[in-house]
Amino acid sequence: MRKHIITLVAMLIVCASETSFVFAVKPEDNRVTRGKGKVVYERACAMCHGGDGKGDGAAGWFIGRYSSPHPRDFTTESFKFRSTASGEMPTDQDLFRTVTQGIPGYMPSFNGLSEEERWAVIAYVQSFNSMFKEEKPTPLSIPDPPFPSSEASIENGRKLYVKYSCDHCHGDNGYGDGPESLKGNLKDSRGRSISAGNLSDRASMKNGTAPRDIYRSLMTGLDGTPMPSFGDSLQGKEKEAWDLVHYILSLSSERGLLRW
Amino acid sequence: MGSCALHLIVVLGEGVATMVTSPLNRMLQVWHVLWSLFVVWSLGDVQSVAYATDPAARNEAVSAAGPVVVGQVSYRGPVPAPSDVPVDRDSEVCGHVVTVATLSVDAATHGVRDVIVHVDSGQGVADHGPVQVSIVQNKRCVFYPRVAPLRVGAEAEIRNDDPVMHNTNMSLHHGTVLNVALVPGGGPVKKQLKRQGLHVVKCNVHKFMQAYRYVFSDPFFDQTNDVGQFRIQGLPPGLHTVSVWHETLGELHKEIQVPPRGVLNVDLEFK
Repeated sequence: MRKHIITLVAMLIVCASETSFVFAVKPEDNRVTRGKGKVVYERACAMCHGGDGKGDGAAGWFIGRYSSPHPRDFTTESFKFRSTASGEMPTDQDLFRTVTQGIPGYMPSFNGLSEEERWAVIAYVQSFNSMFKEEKPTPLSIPDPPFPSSEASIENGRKLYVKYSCDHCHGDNGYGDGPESLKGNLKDSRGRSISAGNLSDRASMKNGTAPRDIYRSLMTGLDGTPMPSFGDSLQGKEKEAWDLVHYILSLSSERGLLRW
Repeated sequence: MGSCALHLIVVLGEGVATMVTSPLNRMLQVWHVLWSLFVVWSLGDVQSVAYATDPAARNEAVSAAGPVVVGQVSYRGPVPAPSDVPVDRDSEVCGHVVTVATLSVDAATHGVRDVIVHVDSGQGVADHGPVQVSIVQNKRCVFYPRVAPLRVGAEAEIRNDDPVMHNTNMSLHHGTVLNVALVPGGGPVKKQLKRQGLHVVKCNVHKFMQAYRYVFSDPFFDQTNDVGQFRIQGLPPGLHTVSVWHETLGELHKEIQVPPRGVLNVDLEFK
């Protein structure tokens, strides 16, 4: 009973935070906003991402110099964590989510900044790349799980995990030790070595650990890395997609939390 | 043309000789004569097209409508033999080795195949015309075609004809244009190419797979044929820069003065 209450509370927190990202509204992007964002950026971001947003900050020299991940180059590189199709720019809400949550193991959460400051710094970051003005990103539909996890769903997800060659990079047990990863064949968009995510460790899931987060990663892919989008392959196959999500989540040690 | 005329004379002769036999025969013969006239006319048209494929005649014909830039891209250096890359997975489909030929030079003319030639007109072209579709085919673990020039707005149609998993990862200036999984038996994936520049296409599943799509914002480009020849028409007259790109030989640039009419010959050589 106590376990179910904890699960319910965890789900409510996740839903509340997801809802706040979806409805977070960006203020008007003007010179004043960007000016405020520049102040925040230079204080909080430039150390890694560089003064010009090229991912060449002083700390970035040590982070990801020879292997990925490394601080994002906002001027040319793609954004990994999006709700949009592969190759598209992220939405404002995507950036807000990343700034607020951080990236486990790499980028700290900036939840300590006020909402106004976070929006301001996003406006400033977007000024580094003209694509933000030229393109209007459209988020994909990321639904809630239509059915709960079950042994049957997990078993079917396991078969799909092999069918879609997930094991080639992430390994049989999701440890990130698939043959492509072990051989060093995985490279990011700049040719730096990159390892496959360890799906058995929640901390390795940089795009979030909720079922919708895993679903989003499958559908959008992680641009700039070898992880492709399965959005076209899984189009019209909602059950398969969620079976795969359930299997991936079953690989992590905290699987009990997601049995509902 | 002569054989066609002979055919017409024979048919006409037969028609006149048999026209008096019966009304049905008469109708058939009339139809035969009309058909033959059509054949002669259409063959004559085909011959004129065939004549126009002769470079000199073709250029003369086109130059009446505006300037044409023609030329050849050549290379006289050593040509490495195609390399055999060992395949470490999906050998039942890909084979045990994949032969990668990145440079093809015609022995007689030294012309280089699959060079992308572009003339920078210095002005944007608003009318993109009909949407160009570029197939990116995954077949026996090779991308087809390996190289292709396209216009901004073209649609890449990515197909997997293999019974194994591929992904197509297309990038531009270190940014991902698209990275899609292609499961066996899945339908084609379509993506509009919105940005100009050299798009590098890779498959992360099979690291030896690579291709290129060069996207331009105007229509003034061509891809060299087997003997390294190219032809670009419709350019505005004036001083322009012609640029050529090859995946292993690199780039060349040359300034050209495009006349208001006529044919401008521009030859470039990779050293």
